[in-house]
Amino acid sequence: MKYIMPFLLAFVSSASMAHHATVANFTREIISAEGVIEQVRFQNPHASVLIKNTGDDGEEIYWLIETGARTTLERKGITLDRLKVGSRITATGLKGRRQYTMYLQEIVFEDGSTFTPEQEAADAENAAIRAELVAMADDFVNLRMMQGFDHDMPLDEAYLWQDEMVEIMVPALGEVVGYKTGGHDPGPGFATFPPGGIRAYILAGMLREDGHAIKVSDTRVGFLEADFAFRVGNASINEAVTDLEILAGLDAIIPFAEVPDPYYDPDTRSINGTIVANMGTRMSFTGMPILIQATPEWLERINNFTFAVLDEHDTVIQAGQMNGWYKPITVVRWIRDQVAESGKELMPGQLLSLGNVGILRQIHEGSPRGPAYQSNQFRLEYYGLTDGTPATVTINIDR
Amino acid sequence: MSQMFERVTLSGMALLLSLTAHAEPDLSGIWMLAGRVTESEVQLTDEALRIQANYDLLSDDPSLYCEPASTSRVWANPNVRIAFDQSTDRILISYEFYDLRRDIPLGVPADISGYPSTRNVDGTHFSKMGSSVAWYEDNHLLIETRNHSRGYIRTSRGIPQSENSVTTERLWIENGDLRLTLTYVDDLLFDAPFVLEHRFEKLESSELPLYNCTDADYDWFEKLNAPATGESS
Repeated sequence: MKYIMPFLLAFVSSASMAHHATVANFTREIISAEGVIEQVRFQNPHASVLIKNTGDDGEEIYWLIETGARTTLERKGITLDRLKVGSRITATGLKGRRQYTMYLQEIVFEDGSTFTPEQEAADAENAAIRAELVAMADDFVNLRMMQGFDHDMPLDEAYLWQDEMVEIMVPALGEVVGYKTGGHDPGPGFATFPPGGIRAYILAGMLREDGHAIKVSDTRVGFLEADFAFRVGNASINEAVTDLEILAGLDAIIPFAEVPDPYYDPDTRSINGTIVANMGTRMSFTGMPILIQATPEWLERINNFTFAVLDEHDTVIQAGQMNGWYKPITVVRWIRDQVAESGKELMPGQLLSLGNVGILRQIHEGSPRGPAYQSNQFRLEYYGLTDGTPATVTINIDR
Repeated sequence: MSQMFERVTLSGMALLLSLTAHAEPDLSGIWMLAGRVTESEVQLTDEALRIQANYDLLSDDPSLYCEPASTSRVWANPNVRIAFDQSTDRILISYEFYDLRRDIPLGVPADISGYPSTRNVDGTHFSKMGSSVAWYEDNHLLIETRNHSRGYIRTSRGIPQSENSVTTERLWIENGDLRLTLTYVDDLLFDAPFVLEHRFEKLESSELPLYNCTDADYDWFEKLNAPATGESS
């Protein structure tokens, strides 16, 4: 009876005991048994592993380590392939009512590695999600429609998968250079944004110089969006409390416009899908930085400046004011806190795009969001932030 | 002969009425149990308590031999698929669990035969699943089953069914889910009807793989640890 150790009563996941009658076949007592794998049965209604324990006195005891139905295991992506005949293992599980049986919780191999059905299932699910992300990233980079991300999970988990998505996209689109957000303005919200706001990454390969000309064919459903952004000046922003302290962590306003390209299969789009797909961020245009100081006067300017978008003939397409749209420092604080929840800090030099300022124009004909922009220039100008000439950033359209 | 003709005609009329007067729920597709099966308070008679007391899970559970213990047991298995095929004169319910095929004619309770409605893909019939007849009523499918052999509604607790058990299964679609209420009436076993509620979710898949059940065969295992016999001391 060597190597059989009763443990304290432990939590047993109901998922691992899915076969109803199985529950009754085992006690709540947790035991372990060591032995050499003699046989692995991957079958219905119970898969099992037969091991042989040989005591110091030469006595041989066979243990039957049972687990779920093959059908259930397969549907969770669990295989027993790692359990090789001849391997020496220590199995831990619920003691069976039938002598020398147990319901598998964990197997430890001689090299210390472990096998648990739950971990196998999680690994399999994660691998499946990652494969979806690889496909989404490939579709996005190659201007193909992204299939949705139909996984019910909390937002923080979706943001972890967004991290994974960005890792996948880094080779094609470059390193992280900042963050963007949306959903903080008083305008009608997007059904595919979380109610409190959404955050995505800006990658180096998405940046375009002021005045860069795009072609309509550079995106699939892209649109022109007037934005507003800051540049992080120093790491103190991560600890800042007051608006002025946050402003002290920023060193410049960046005239900012972008061309998102949220080309999702419309029937499969979801909040988590928008997060994971990095909001379909395609191209970000940056103008000349406006250096700022942490003063009440600058706070006043930032909260009250006005702006407009003009075409190549200097015709004003649409104008607006920041006052009443969103409070820039409040949005910076939200990004900072949201990034912190993901275990990261803002770093000097990073861009923080605070979201659109209410001026959007479609590039493509036939968009359900509105008529296509016919002009060849989309020039965003900020007024009241600088003395003299307005700060600008321009997107040209090469037709 | 004329009596038989009359009975057939009446049955046919009842069938015709059942087919024309009531809309049929569309049960097509592949379904899987979602969440836990809820059950009413089980009020066992003395006879049921006696059977339950004698029940040994380790040897009496028909599941050990890939045999369905009851209709209830088959509906309540998680992670397995169920498919419906509704035709003009019958319902075929295909259970992935044990590869069961339950072929139920449309009709009225008087039409229930003494022949088991359920077999597996190898052709073995299972009398524990009884003999059934089905009809439609107000967007619900109803199945009445009689002529069960003794079995177990709940194998983990040894809640029995008997030859006297009559079950009614009521199935309908609600918010895209398949709902099932299964009611056992048996005055030998229950002081009040025993009612089980189920919810099934529709799967995108259209496949019903073979289950290929393998007998538990604990005898084989126990012999491995049995002391060798015939040895001289």
